[in-house]
Amino acid sequence: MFRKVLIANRGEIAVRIIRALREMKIASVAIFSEADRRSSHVQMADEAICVGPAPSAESYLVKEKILDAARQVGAEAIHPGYGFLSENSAFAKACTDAQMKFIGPDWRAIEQMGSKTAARRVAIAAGAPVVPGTEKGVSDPKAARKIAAELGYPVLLKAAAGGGGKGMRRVDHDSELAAAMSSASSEAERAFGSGEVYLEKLIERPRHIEVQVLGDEHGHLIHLGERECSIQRRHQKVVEESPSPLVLAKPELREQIGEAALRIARAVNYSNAGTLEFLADQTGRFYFLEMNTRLQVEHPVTEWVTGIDLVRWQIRIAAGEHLTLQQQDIRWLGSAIECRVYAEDPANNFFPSPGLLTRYTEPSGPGVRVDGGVYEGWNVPLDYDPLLAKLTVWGESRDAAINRMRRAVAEYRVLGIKTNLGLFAQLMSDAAWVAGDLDTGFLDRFMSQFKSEKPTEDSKMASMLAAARMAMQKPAATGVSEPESQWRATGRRGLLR
Amino acid sequence: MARNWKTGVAALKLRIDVDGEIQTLDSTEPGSASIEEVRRGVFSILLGTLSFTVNVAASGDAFEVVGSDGLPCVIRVTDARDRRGGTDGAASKGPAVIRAQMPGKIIKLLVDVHAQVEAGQGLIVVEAMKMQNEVKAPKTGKVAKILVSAGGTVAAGETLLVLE
Repeated sequence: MFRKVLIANRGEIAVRIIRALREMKIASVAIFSEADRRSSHVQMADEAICVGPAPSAESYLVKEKILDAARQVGAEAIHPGYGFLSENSAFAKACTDAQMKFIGPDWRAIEQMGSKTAARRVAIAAGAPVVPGTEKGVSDPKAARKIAAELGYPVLLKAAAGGGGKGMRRVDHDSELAAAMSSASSEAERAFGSGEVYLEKLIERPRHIEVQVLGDEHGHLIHLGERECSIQRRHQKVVEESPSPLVLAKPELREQIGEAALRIARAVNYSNAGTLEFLADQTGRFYFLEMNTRLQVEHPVTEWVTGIDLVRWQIRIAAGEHLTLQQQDIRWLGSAIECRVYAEDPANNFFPSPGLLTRYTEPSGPGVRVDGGVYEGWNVPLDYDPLLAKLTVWGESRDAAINRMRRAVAEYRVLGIKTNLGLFAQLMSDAAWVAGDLDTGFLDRFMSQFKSEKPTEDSKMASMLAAARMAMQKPAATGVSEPESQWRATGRRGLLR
Repeated sequence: MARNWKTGVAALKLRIDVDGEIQTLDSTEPGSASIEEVRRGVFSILLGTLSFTVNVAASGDAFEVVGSDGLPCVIRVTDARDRRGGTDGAASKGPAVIRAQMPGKIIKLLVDVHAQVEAGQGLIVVEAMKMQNEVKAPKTGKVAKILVSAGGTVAAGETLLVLE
C-alpha cells in the first residue's frame, strides 16, 4: 500500500479523499492555489504545497507543477478527484512515465473514452445500445428522409460542428424534414462556419441514468447499480439519487443497464472507478451516451445504498490489490438522495454568489452526510466551481429519504452568500418529484414556476425579534443610528438580558 | 402591520424592514416571547410555546437572517421614534411640539430651557411599563418651553416640550 498520496484537487472532493487516506493510515498531501491557502483541504491534509496563483490554468491544471510537488514530498501516487486533470490522459500518462501511480484507469482507457464519437463506436462494437442516428452529416434531403423513416419520428437534426442548441431542430413528420434541414443547416453555417447536420432519434422526455462500475487491474469488473441524475440545469446535475425511480418501477432494468455498462467497460479493459451515462426513455429503453473515466461527484449516493467505500477501493485497486467484491455479493438497501449545495441564487437565474460565509451550520443526525469543504468565515472564491457541499441522505425507502432531505435542508443554515437550499426545500415537496416522474427537462419547468416561499407570520416574527436583539447589542453596526448616551446604552443592555 | 409582543427587547417601538416590507415591533403591548442568543449570531426564540432557531449576521447597516425555512431575508431595524429619517419624521422648519406617546413618568430632563439642541439629541427620559425611553429632538433648534418636570407623570399626547 502507498505511504503517501497527493491529491491533485481542491474543495469537497479533496477533503473526501483526505478522509479516506486518513482512515487507511496513508499520509495525505494537498496542493493549493494562492486563493485557497485558508481552505479546508489545506487544513486537513498532513502536508500542503502551493502550486501557483488563483487561476486554475496557472495552478490546479499545471501538470508539471503537480508532479514536482509530488516528487518534492515523496508521494507515491496522485488522486486526481473529479474535474481539473482527472480525465486528462496526458496527465495520467505523465504520472505513469514519472513512476507516480495515477489513481484511476490506465491513460489509454481515458483517451479512448474521452472522445464521444470514439466511445460511441466502442459501445456499438460491444453490442450496447446507443441513440440511433447517422454518425456523419447528411446533405441530401432524399437520403435524410429515408434515414429518418428508419429511425422513426420524432427525429432531431443536430449541427455536426457544434452544440448549445444552435442548428438543432425537432422534426415530427416526414413533410417537415426538408425545410427543417435547410434552416438548421443555414443556422449551423452562421454559428459554426459549417452547415453540416446529422440526424438522431429524438428521445422524448429522456431520463439521465448512469451506472457505476468498479474494476481491478487484474480483469475483474463489477457494477454497483445506477444513479438517476435527471434533475439538471444546462447539463449541470443538481440532484441525484439511487436507485432510479424508473428502476424502482422496473427492477429488471438494473441488471440490463448494468450489463450494458460492463460490456462497454470491458471493451476498453477498464479498471478503477468509472461511470457510464445513459439516456433512458420513460418505458425504460436506454441508450449509451458517454463514459466518465473518474470518480463521480455524486458517488456518495452509491456508497449509501451499497455500503461500499468507492474512494477506499480506488486507492486499493491502484495499489494493485484484487477487488474482492463479486457481482452477486452486491446488495442495494434503501434509497439515497444527493443535493448539490451551490453558491448561487436560484431566484436570480442561478447567478453565482461568491463571498464570505458569515454564518454556516451544516445538518447532521441519522442518515445525513455532508461532504463539505467550507466553514463559517471561509470566503468562497470566484475562481472555481460554486459547489459548497454535497448534502446526501439515506432512507429505508425513497419517501423516507425525501422526508429526511427536507428535514436536513431545514437544518442547513447559510448566510453571507446566496445558495440553492430554498430550491431543495420546495423540490422535496413537489408532487411530480415525489412521484419520481422525472426527465431532464424537469428542473427548467420547475424553475419557471419557482417563487421564493413566503415565511409564516410567526417565523417572520421570530426573525424580526432576533434581528432586533442583535441590533440592540451592537448599536454601532445597525440601523439604530442615533447617537446614544452611555447611560442609555447601558440601560438598554440591562433590559435585554 | 404592527405585531405586538412583550419581547424583552426593551421598551421600544421598532420600525422593521423585512425585505422591503415595513412592520412595527412594539414591545409595550401584551404577548410573550423569550429570546436567547445560544451562540454568536444564533438565537433561540420562543413565541409562546412555538420554538424557532434563527441565524443572524450583520451585513452593512442591516442584518441577514435565516430561519428554518432556509430562505434568508434582509432586515433593517430602526427606532420608530427616531424621527429624523423615517417616513413619519417631523418637518424641519417651524416650532415642533413634542408630546408624550404613552402615559408614563418623567425620569429626567436632559436639557434646559433655551438650550441649543441638535436633531436626534435626547431631551427627556420617560418611563412607561417599567421601561425607559428617550424622547429625541426631531430637528435642530432651541428649547422654547419645557412643560413637565422630573418625577411628574404625563398622559398620552400631553405636551412635554416645544422646540423652536
